Amino acid sequence: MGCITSEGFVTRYSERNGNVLAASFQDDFAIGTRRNGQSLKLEFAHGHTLIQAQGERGLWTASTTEYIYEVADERDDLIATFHWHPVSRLAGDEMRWPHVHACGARDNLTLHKLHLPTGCVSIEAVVRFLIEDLDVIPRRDDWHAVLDRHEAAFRRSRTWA
Amino acid sequence: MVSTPTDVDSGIRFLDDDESHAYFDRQAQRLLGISGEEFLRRYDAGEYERPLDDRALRAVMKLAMLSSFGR
Repeated sequence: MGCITSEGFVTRYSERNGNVLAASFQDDFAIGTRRNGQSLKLEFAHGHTLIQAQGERGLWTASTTEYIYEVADERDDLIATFHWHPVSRLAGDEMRWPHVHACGARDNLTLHKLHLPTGCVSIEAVVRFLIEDLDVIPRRDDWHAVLDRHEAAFRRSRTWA
Repeated sequence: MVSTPTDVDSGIRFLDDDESHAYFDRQAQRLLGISGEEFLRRYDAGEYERPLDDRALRAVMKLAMLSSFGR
């Protein structure tokens, strides 16, 4: 995330929550600046548990359990929102598999109501989407290498599909 | 030549119980205009299991995912 924002994260560990942790932006959301001068707003809610890394005694890793990554324009109108919430019980979005809601105008479809299936989407993939497709200005020239390196490490250690 | 970020990344901060509850309360106020405690009461009572408009659904989903900050 540091490729596009200096915004920090907060998380909390509490035994009361049974090793279920959440993380989000410290100041609610991050703002990215596009090359055309417009701003983009990114909101982020991430659920995870800590598990012992296999084959590496003493090491722990975070295992993602759910996420919401929201991308909106400067008026807070959604552009896309990436979801995985396998335990959701809310009417209107009970889909248990990873999906994306794409927002846009169509004559014969309410596009944002659809659950376009995806694999589990990494934060790195969302950052790459923001830079490559939405022209958010990266904070560092080596963003491509940084995202590749972190995503490769993530794919090696992830415990979900 | 490769550049590095010009300002310092804020990193990850672990909140203690009081900070965590205050953070969740702020999110509930921002997203739904109610306290974090009230959101958890309504959520646990199943009051959000009815159809919601898009903005409310968006808010409730986020708060549900962040609810470990408030418990």
